[in-house]
Amino acid sequence: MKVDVAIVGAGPAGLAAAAAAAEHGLDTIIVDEGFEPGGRLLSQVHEISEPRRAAHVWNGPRVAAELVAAAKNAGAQFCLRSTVWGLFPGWRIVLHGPGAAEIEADRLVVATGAMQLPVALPGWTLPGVMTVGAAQSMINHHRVLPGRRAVVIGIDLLALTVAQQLASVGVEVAGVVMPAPGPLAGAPADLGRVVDELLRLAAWAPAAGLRLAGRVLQGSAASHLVARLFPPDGVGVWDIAVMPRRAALEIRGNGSVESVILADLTPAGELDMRTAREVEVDLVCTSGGLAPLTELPEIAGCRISYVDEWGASVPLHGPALETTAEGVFVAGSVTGVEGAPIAALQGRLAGYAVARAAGRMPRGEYDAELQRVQKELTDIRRHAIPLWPNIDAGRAAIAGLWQEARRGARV
Amino acid sequence: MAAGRVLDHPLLGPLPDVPAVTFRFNGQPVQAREGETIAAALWAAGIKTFRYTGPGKEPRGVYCGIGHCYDCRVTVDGVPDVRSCLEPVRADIQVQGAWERQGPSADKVNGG
Repeated sequence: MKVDVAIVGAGPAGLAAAAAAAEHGLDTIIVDEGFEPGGRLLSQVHEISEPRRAAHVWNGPRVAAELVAAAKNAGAQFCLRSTVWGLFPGWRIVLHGPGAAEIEADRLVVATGAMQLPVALPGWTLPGVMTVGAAQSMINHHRVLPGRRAVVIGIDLLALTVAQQLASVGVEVAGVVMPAPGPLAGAPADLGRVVDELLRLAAWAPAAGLRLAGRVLQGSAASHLVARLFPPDGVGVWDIAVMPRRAALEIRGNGSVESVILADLTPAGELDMRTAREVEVDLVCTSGGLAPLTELPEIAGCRISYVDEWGASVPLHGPALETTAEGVFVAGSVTGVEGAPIAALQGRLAGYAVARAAGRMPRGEYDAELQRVQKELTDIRRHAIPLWPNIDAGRAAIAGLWQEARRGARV
Repeated sequence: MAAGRVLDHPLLGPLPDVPAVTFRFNGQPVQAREGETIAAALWAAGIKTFRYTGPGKEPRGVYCGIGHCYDCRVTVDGVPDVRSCLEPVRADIQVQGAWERQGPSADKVNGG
């Protein structure tokens, strides 16, 4: 099969890219491992309240359906249940799945998204331990109860969102706790950083509880001092006990999760083993942060750059989401994790860039669309909940690295 | 204990009616909802262990739920290493926990 552009990943970025490219007459195919297009949108159903805006429900499956319809109406083809296992310059895309075994495409858009990093502690492979993303998908997409009584390990936006969702469907949440300090989590536990994260989220918290907590914290001095003020039993965020002063040491169970060992952290972030106790749960959800899925850009030969501001690596990309590999573009969380609305806008941008590169979009129209999308990106970034902190600084760093690479290439 | 279903979702409302599909897991019938994954159907039926690792015989179930970790892999109608979190249920398929497989497996190479 020969197409103008192949898009890998049918999440918000890939779907929007497919629509934008196909609308400009490009023969477009979108590939995804899942049997339903939509990616993580299919699991995202939550209430959002942003500063100076009315609370509203983010219905990911509905957004996905709209993006799929737009891509299909524009003429994009779908190749689902197919895993890309090889990319060869030119581009030849090699697939495992029930459909085509190979696709030839002049250009590629990689929109593979991000994965959740594991939180490794003794017992973490037991059935009943899952990422918060897996629990979110069970609750909202599959309508399956992941457990009856849970502990969530890791304190960040996704962890708090999912803890709240667990509680909202009747799962008893015994607490949202820290990973135990150690070689994998960093020793001692960085309480200051968690406080910073809670402060950052306070402005967007989908409920008054966290806003209130945020206000209390903002009145205080440096975050590492604020950590002292956290009682080990935690603070109420929504109706959940968030416990920056308590850590999970071990998960136990005979065949599946039966309990978790928790202990208090001293204000300095060290474990106080005298406080260790066993808490009965049948579910442990972990949130270790999100990492862009850069395997495909790597095998395509794209330069991968480490972004200090994010503590993550992304394919180096330019303002039109082009990479250092000829004909390869990127969009969405693989470029930095900002959430679905931003990913979809980036997808449009990549779709236009591909259409422009293929000679199907006049410069005037392209420049106008580019401006429009970039303005919309700026607007959304002003009020949306950023999944990652330091988004602007990270984006600026990438822009700098890109210019440096361009200069190097010209020499 | 069966983990069960989210019957009444605070934002999505009551669980919609969809046709039931029956398949077999290690020979036992499992009731699923049409259009869901094998992993979702097994978990809803209270089955949390999908396989045991090769060398250590340690249980594995759903970990990432999005096709990355390969922890949830099963054998479907004789096809090994199918990720149950990505594979839709179909009527009458035979799903086997991977420990019943014969011959060399990735587990033996990678230690599970």
